[in-house]
Amino acid sequence: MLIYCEKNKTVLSENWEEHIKKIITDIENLLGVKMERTETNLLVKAHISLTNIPDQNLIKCWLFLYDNTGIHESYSKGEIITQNNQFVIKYDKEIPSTDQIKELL
Amino acid sequence: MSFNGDLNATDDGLELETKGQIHTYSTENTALNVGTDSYILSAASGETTGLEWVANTDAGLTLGAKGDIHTRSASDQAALAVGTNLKSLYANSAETTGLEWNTNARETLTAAGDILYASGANTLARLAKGSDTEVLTLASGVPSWAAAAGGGATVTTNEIHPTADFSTSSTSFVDATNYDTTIANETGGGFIASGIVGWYNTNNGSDNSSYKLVHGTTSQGITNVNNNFPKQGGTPISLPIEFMGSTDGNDLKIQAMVSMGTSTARGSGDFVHVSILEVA
Repeated sequence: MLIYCEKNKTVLSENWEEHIKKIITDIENLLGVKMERTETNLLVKAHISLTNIPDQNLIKCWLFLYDNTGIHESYSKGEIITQNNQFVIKYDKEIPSTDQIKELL
Repeated sequence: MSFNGDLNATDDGLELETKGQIHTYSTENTALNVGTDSYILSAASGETTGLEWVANTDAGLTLGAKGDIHTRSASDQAALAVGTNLKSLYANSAETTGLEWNTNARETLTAAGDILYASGANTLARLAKGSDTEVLTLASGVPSWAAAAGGGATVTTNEIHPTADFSTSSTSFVDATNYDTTIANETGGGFIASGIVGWYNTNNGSDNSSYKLVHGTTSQGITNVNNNFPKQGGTPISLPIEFMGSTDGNDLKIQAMVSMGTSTARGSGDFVHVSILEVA
């Protein structure tokens, strides 16, 4: 499942690394799952991709909550792309609203 | 005027007795007999008198016209008349004098843009210039100008040089938004992409973050470039990339993934820059 949202916000490029850490932490807390795969979290239920365009004061967010175990989901040119992925398991938590995600960007 | 009565005061009594004799001197007054018909008198220090009769090798030859050249056949002196304008003198053993006037390159080339070629063995020929954009080709074994049937290059440049930052925690490759460009659809064309891409991730692993250049889909057989990056204190590592493919209207784009943590490319940091040269 894709949750896409945009937010008008200016984040300078040099501050982006710190900002995305905060976004990921906040959304992980909201979802109740870890999106970053680590040595103690080898299977993930979601991933996030973010684009920061400082010149347009814009942040774009693609949040994927996986519908099926072993099937990775992504977005390209208007289509959801699925591919097998051994690190993916089904997202089984409450689905947040787009506004909830947008608030955390 | 007076006369002292001595007839031999200066010639020491030498009398010239034969037709054609010449009064000369060796160590004394001497008569030099006349030479053979057509011979001429030549200085010769080895001779007693310092003179000798020698054959006149130019005997009978008259150069009667402007540009005549004094030459020789196998047996006689010969005058070779000058050739027509722009001819060159060539050796030709088949000619009486061994020489001939014949065509040269300067004569053959008559207009700007002319090209000199051989229409046969030892035969100069002129190829007049072609029209603009025509290319030199071969027709019936000789050069000619013809319309380009392909291969004329139209080069355009493009680049992936985003001003946006992109981050992902995806464990499979996903499109890096704004990190793409469209490669024009040109039959028979191609492109070359080169540049650097910097990427880093939030983990300290040695092979966590990966990117690749994708043109169309991998199933089209286009090679992807895939390099892994270590993280070094959050400093992006730039690696050179290069990519070649055909221009088929597909996007050339960068995809990224991370095996652990989050992968980030910072567009405004000027370390993601791919130049694309398209040849149609």
